[in-house]
Amino acid sequence: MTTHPILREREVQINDYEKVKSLFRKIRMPSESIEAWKSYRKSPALKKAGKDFPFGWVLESGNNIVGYLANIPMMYSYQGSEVFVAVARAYAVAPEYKGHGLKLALKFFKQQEVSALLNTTANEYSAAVFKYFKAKPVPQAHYNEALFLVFNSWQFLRAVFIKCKFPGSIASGTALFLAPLFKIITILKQKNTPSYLQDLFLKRVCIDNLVEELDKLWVTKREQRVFYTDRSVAMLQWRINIAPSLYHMYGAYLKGQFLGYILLKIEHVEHLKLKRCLIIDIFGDFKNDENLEVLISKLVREVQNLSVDTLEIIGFPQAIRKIVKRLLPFKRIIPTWPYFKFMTQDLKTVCQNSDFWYVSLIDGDSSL
Amino acid sequence: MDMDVQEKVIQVLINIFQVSPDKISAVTTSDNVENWDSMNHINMILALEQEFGISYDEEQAVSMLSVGEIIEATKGKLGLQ
Repeated sequence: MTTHPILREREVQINDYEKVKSLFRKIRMPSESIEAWKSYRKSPALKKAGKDFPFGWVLESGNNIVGYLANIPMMYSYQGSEVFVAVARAYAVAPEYKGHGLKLALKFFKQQEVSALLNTTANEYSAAVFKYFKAKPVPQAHYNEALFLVFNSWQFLRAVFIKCKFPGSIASGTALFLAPLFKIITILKQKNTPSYLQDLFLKRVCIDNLVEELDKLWVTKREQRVFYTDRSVAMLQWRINIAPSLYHMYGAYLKGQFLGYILLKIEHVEHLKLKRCLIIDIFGDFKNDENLEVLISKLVREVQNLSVDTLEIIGFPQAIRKIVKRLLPFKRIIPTWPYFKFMTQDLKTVCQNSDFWYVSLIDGDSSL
Repeated sequence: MDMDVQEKVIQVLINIFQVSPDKISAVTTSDNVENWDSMNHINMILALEQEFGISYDEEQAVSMLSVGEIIEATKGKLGLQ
């Protein structure tokens, strides 16, 4: 009968990095970089936390780390009030200790000083854990329905076949054979482009050159009755600087006036050999749906120049998704859904309303 | 009654972890059962709560990692100790 040394639970320290990395290697999951760990410890959200904020917990057996759950500090805003949120991330437990994983979840749910707990990438497994601790799914419809456009038919089809467990050469060959037909389908679908609007521009911008405009936008938007993740310049810079080369920000302008921005992230899906572009955020006051439709169409053209295989959008309220659907995108179901738990009664009451939410990949740790 | 509790607990565990009865006894721990992961642990807690009409504290539920501990905690909740 197997017996293990006594397990110890404690807060993670930065010098645990190598042992945590070994744990992830052991269970064949990608681990975070040390730079990411250091970035979490510099989050602007920490200005609201006590100096003892835990960045996660580990399960220790003898000299080994056999379990890990990261805890990332985030700031949200609702009607002008700041809401300090902890986000669960990177859960891992060695197979021989799999029964002990809930001890880490308990630490997460029992932490002090936070107003809300979030898991923005809850799969079937973590959703069950979150439900047990009385967290609820975000009531934003169709979050698990990703909408996407295909720019490189062959790469995309090959990725589909690889995902369907076709051997590499057969996946490539079948994709090559079907790509022309698929290309015709995508051209026909993308033929439906909106009318051109004079004086409406979308241009690549650098966040450091847009400080005044972004601050002004955030000061206005944060007063709304919507639970927004913090989009202050400091917070956006912090997020983008974790992997600056992967982010692209586009500013939207009407007659020279800044309306808002669209933030993209490039993701290399190594096992599928696919380079995809994710719409992380669409944020601003775009005046009307027609403007936003034209801006998204312009964005599609910009993204085609980035040599990516697909452009994908996940989340966002129905009003935005409706506009994206006019481009006749493909759909796929993703196995994750965001879960939340509020600690304060006022937020517990209002969060049941779907208008309260504006969840996309910029929320929580979805795109970190 | 004590025996009933033990038998019922073991029956719930057999169903949840899909193991043969000879693999579960009062000394069995999570380390010895292949399917005893966090998700099945939650399923086990929910099944036991339904079976006995009780509710475990979260801390208690998380730390019940052997059949003996589960039986003792369940008896405690039922006022049998």
